[in-house]
This record gives sequence, C-alpha cells and structure tokens, in this order.
Amino acid sequence: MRIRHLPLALAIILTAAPAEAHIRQGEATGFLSGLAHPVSGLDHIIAMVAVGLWGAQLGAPAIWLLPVTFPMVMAFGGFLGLIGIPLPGVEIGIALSGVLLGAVVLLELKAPLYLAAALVGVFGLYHGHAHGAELPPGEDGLLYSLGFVLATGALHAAGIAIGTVHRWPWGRAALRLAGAGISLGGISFLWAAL
Amino acid sequence: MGRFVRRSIARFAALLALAPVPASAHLVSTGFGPVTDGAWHFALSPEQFLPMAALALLAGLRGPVHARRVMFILPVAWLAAVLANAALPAGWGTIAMAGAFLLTGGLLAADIKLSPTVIAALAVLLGALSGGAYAADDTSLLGALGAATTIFVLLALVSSAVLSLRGGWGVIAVRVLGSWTAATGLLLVGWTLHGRS
Repeated sequence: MRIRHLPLALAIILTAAPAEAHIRQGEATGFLSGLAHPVSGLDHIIAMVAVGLWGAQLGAPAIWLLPVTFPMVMAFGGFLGLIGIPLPGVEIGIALSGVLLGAVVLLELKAPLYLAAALVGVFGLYHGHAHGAELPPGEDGLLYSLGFVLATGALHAAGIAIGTVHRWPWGRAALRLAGAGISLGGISFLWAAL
Repeated sequence: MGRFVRRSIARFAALLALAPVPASAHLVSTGFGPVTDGAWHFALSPEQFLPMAALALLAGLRGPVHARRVMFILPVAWLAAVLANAALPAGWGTIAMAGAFLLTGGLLAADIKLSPTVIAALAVLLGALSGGAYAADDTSLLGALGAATTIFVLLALVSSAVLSLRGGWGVIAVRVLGSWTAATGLLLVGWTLHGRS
C-alpha cells in the first residue's frame, strides 16, 4: 500500500461502526424473547389453547373470565418462580393441565364458573412458575414481561377463535376431538415427567 | 508543513466530518429540538405510558367526568413532579412503576366503580410516581413540556376511545387489557426483586 493511502485507511478504521447483524441486545430482544417464551413448549401451548376452547364451550361469562384468570394467576406463579419460592411437581402439574383441560373439552364439561376459574387458575400457577424460574438473565424485565403476557393472551385468543365453531354440530364434534388430542398430548408429557 | 501532509490532514478531517457518530448525550435526540425530544422520550418509555393508558381506559369506562379529571390532573401532577425534580431514589423507579402497572391494571380488570374524586387522587398519585421516575433521567423544562403534552394527548385519545363503549365485547376487551397490564406489573415486581431488571 502506498504511504499516501495511509490517512484514508486510518480514517476508515477510526470511524468504523461495530457490526451488529447477529448481536441480540437491547429492549427489542427482551420483548421478542418474552413473546417467544410461551410458544417455545408444546406442553404450554396445548394447555393455553385448551383454556380458550373450554371458555368458548362454556360461553359467557366464562369465555372471557377464564382467559383473564389464567394470565393473572400465571403471572403470580411467574412472580413466585422469579423470587425463588419453589413449587413442587411443576412439570407434573403442567402435564396434568394438558390431561385435565383436554378432558374437560372432550367431555364438554359444564362446570360452575368458580370451579372452572379455580381449575384454570391452579394450572396457570404451575405454568407461570415454570416460566418464571426459566427466565433468562440480562433481558429487559418490562418488555420481556409484556411480550410474555401478550403471547399467552394470543394463545388464549387462538383457542377462543377456534372455539367459535362450537355453534355448529360438526364444530362441537371437532372441538371434542381436539380436546381428546390435547388430553393425549398431556398424557405423553405426564409420562415423560414421571 | 509539506503539501502531502496538509492534503492528508484535510482528507482525514473531511472523512471524520462525513462519518459522524450520533451523539448520545440526550436520551432521545430527534433533531427537532428539546420539546420533540421530550415527547419522543415519553413515547418510547412503555413503563411510563402503559399505566397511564390503563388509568385512562378505566376513567373512560366510568364516564366523561372521570375522563376529564384524569386528562387534566395527571399531566399537571406529572409535570410538577418533574419540574420539582422529585426524582425517586435509585432502584425505586422500577418498583414504583411495577406497582403502577399492578394498581391500574387490577382496577381496570375488575372494572371497579370509583368516584371522580378517587380517580383524581389516583391521577395525582400516578403522575407523581411517573414524574418521579422520569425526573431521574431528565428534568429539562422544554423536554418535560413536550412529554406532558404527549401525556395529555394520550389520555384524551385513549379515554375518548372507550367513552362510547356501551358494554359488550368492547368493554370485555378493555378489561382483558387491564388483566394483561396487571400481570405484566406482577412479573415486573418479580424481576425487580430478583435483581434481574
């Protein structure tokens, strides 16, 4: 290289910006990580969709009360997991949520509202605790939590949207079939947890 | 100084000038002045605007009297806290805002029937807390004015959007948003206590 090109090379080196194509940092990473967490495990997905399906089968007010109950109790479980309070049998509880929530969809169980909310709430606690204990360090707490709650709500909404087929006879049969599938999935997760 | 050295220095200076690095002294630098910077600073701070939006939704559900009180009182309380430099102690800002998420989201999810006086008191409390958290970052007058104007517009738009709702799925959706806000606040408290935030 000729000596007269040295200042040009020096200037380019000194003004170089760092390449950030693959560096995941900052607030967007926190939001996207939170958004991805609830959909990262099939055991979580089937339970949350089942909540929406059951709500759709039960109709108002359960159709919106159950998806409101689940994130609140799940957040409380996440809170317990974050501050390090242990919850025994978390994996079993999560697997059982798939089994039982799938079963109530399969049976189209018309449970009283308080009982339905209690069942969904208990399982929400297990799911939340697992998420809270698994949260990756170093993320943005607020945006992660926002993404996490939004993704959970979206899964419930998906369940409710699918559940709208309940108005037709073939839809009711399809929902019960979906409940059977969810329950079977739960059994396989329970087998693995045990 | 030789011609070669002079030309080299000139090229070097020209390149430095043509390759500026953005200044990061201000939290948000739009290039449109401190008022716009303050407005964008607020708009890019979800910990600030989400609890306010939740309170505006609650006020809107209760009616125009509640909405008007929140719309005027909250920005004034917020601006007063910032200009008084009532910054919250280090570490308390996140806890305060997590509490604001929990309180406003919980009240909205439960659709609590509050009187206009209580709503006004909540607006003062939230304005003071948010302003205190904001004051830890920035206390410039023009920036705070820009942010306070944005708060006013946010509250006006959000509360007016729900004022027209008369029950049904619209109200349910608003209450679901409240439950999500409260759930986010609860997780944020956990994050903060765990020392991860």
